[in-house]
Amino acid sequence: MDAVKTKVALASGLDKKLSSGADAALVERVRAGDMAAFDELTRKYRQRLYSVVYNMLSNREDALDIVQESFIKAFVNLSSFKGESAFYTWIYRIAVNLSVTFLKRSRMRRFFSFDNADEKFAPADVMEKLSVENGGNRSAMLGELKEKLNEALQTLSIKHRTVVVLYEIEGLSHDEIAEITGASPATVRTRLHYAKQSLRAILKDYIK
Amino acid sequence: MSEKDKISLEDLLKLKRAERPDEAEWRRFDENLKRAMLCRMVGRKRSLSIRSIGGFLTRRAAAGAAALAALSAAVFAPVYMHSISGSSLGDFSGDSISDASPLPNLAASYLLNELPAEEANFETPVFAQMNAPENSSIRYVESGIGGGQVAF
Repeated sequence: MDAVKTKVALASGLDKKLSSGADAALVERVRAGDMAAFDELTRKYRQRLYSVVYNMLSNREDALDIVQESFIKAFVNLSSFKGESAFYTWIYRIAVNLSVTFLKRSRMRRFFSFDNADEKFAPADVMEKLSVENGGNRSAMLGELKEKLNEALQTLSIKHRTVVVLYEIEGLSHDEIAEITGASPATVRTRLHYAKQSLRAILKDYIK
Repeated sequence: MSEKDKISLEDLLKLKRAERPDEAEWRRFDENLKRAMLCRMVGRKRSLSIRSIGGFLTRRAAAGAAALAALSAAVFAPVYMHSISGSSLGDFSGDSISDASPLPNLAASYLLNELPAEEANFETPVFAQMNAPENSSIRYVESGIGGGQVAF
């Protein structure tokens, strides 16, 4: 089992390295004036950025605005990107900072999520666990769980919510999250532990 | 919810990955992004142009003001030193004491009142106190930059 996990981790690390190299090439093309290269970067990362921002804000429209602003900021400040970190880390950091600023400024947090999560993107094993014994009404169950989770996430502080979103939903490592948030990996682990404890306490009626 | 229906917190969080805009929404996003980037770039170019024009004018104005101040100092300082040497706070009426300032602003503009005929001396202008009464018929030279008055 450990060998499998190691293989997966290595593959994932290799993917990231290859992706990072490809991104560096795209960034150079953008700097040379190739807008098509920037379009490619946008298409590559918009969904991931959206996922992070949406799960921090729990508002679809605000999330799209913030993602748009993130790409604009990245484009305008591309000359300051020195390539010391991966492009995706850099743009994640922009998106997270904009989200944090937005959350701190907005007094009212409006929850506005999708009516229907696209089930084809949900992990198959998780969908399976949403028992057919619930009258086969998986969508209704999904909707209810989503609602409760959104509410629970909003009770977390911004910094705790950020690490949960980046780790559990985006699948980033502690080191990557540390680079994005500016905290140490140890702080990231502590925040994650605390955040998950809080979420478990709130959602105890819905989760194992 | 029965125990067998429950899932783990980690699985529940993974479900959040399923929440995403559809293709139509992404198309709109791409269009809006292109439009916003264009506006931002045009705005930056315009503000850079305005800034560079503004900077040029400011530098010219600053140079002009500095030259004027130097000229004023050279011309008026000797006369001013003479005029304040005999004054004291007791010369002021009660209302104007708190506003009195012995030092005029040397950067001058040219709003003029009439001097009394016997004091008129256009070759050697006299500095009045900052808050001389309205009917003093002192010829004031007001500052166009930084305020204050110089009288002659």
